Amino acid sequence: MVVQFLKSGPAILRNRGLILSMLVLICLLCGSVNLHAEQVAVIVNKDGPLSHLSKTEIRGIYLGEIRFVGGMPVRPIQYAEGQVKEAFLSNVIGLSAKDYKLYWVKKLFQEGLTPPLVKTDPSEILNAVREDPWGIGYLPKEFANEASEIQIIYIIQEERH
Amino acid sequence: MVTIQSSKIRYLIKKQAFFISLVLLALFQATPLRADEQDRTQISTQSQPSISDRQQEEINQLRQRIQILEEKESSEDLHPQFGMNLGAYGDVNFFTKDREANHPSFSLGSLDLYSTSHFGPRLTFLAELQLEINGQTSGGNFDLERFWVGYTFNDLLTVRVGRQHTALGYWNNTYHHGKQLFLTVDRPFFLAFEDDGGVLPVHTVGIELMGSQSLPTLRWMYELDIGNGHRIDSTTKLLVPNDIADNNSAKQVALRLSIQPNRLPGLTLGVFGTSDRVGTDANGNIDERVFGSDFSYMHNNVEFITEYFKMLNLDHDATAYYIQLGYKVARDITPYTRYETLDVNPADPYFSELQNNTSRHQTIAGVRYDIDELRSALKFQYRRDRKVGSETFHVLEAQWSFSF
Repeated sequence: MVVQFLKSGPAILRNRGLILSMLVLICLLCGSVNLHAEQVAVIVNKDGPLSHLSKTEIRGIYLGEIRFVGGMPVRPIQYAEGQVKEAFLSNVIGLSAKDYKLYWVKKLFQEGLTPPLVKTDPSEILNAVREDPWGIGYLPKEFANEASEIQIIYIIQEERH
Repeated sequence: MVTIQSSKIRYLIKKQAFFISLVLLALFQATPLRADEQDRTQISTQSQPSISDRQQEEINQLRQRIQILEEKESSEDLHPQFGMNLGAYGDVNFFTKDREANHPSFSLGSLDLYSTSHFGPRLTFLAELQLEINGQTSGGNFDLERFWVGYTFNDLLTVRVGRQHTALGYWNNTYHHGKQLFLTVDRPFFLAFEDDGGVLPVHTVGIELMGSQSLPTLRWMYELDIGNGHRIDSTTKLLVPNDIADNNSAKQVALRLSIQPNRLPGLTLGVFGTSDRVGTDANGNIDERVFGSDFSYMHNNVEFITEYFKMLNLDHDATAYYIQLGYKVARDITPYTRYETLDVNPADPYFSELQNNTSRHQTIAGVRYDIDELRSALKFQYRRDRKVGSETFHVLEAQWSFSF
């Protein structure tokens, strides 16, 4: 009876090996994408006034639209050129790296404002945020996971292909 | 018979089990591992030094940092800041016969030099000088186009004093003298600078208050200018911003309010107005009022700007508007088009004093090619220039704009 059950049904269902192989293939593909996904963390000083910033406010800071919080100047720090920065700009700012540069070229010419400082080393970003209650930066989340005196306020899932 | 069937069943079950195992293995690989992260957190907690040691270390680090900053500040005070952030914009043009030139011509554009600096996050400086060739000679004019110092109290209030662009609409606030930064060969003709025959008071010498506030649904901005009014030079028939002294006691006031909805990134809506007592030789002082609105959308591949101006002078009024659309079709190529118009009453005492004193309409269509989006672009455009009581010109123009 079991054999009959396994042998009965529409032809496609009888090809269980093919179906299961396809399921395996789909799962492996999903797994391969997740294997290369990395997270980017936006960090602030744990004891500072920036711990409740929304995504819109983070965007405003990195566009120079929000320059002060609580009457004090905010000090945003950028990551070096690369996928981390592109993920942040795409997800939070809504601009490509090139458009972001062009935005700041115009901002400099119009208002004399300079773009956020660039740090190439994640430890420099961590130290800068630790030392400055009004500091804010972003970096690969793995560097922020164990770091003391900083707080992660926003996480971006960076997809690599 | 029964033995053969049961062995077949066992075989099929084994086969199914094998494939199910593969599926489970693939799912297990897809799940990010978390256990090792928990272990690392526990380890880091266990190895922390005592609180007082940590605090002492922080205090020592802060002391060192303060010392370094004090030394740096005292040494920086001695270094001049002008030119630390120095840039230039330029352009070279070619055009066929048009209203200003009788022959196809190459033309030197302007060399626009600017420098910005800041001292701390609150004090900002900007100077913009433009060198333009004067007529047919190789001599030029050096104009101080923008020159201001500003202090920022907070996001809601920045005060600037000096010469700046009047808070009149989107284009005048956004685009200055660097043609590399805008899509087309030139500004809408009625927004030309005063010394180029423009009809609007686009520069103000005085004080500007500006600020913005980010709210949950939108960001709103304001600019308020109070400065010297303008006069019309009876010899050149050009509008002149009174840079050194006002010619009457009335001050020009301009205000622009604009919003940017958060849900529509790239969209800006603005309303603006200005009141100016313009001195003229023939008609005395003319109280000029300009009101208008602007709408711009700059997002993804779209660049759309439209502005409307209503100019009220005594019993007469004039209107001007333009609509501009550009769409990036490839990484470096953006076709565009613009229609711009100025409708003037010939009896208007304000316009009768100016060079551009009749109704005029222009249509342009062109394409911009970015050699480098930040540094250099080629623009090619066709311009149809119609002026009431005058010949219509069909002009082909090319421009190579650059910045360095």
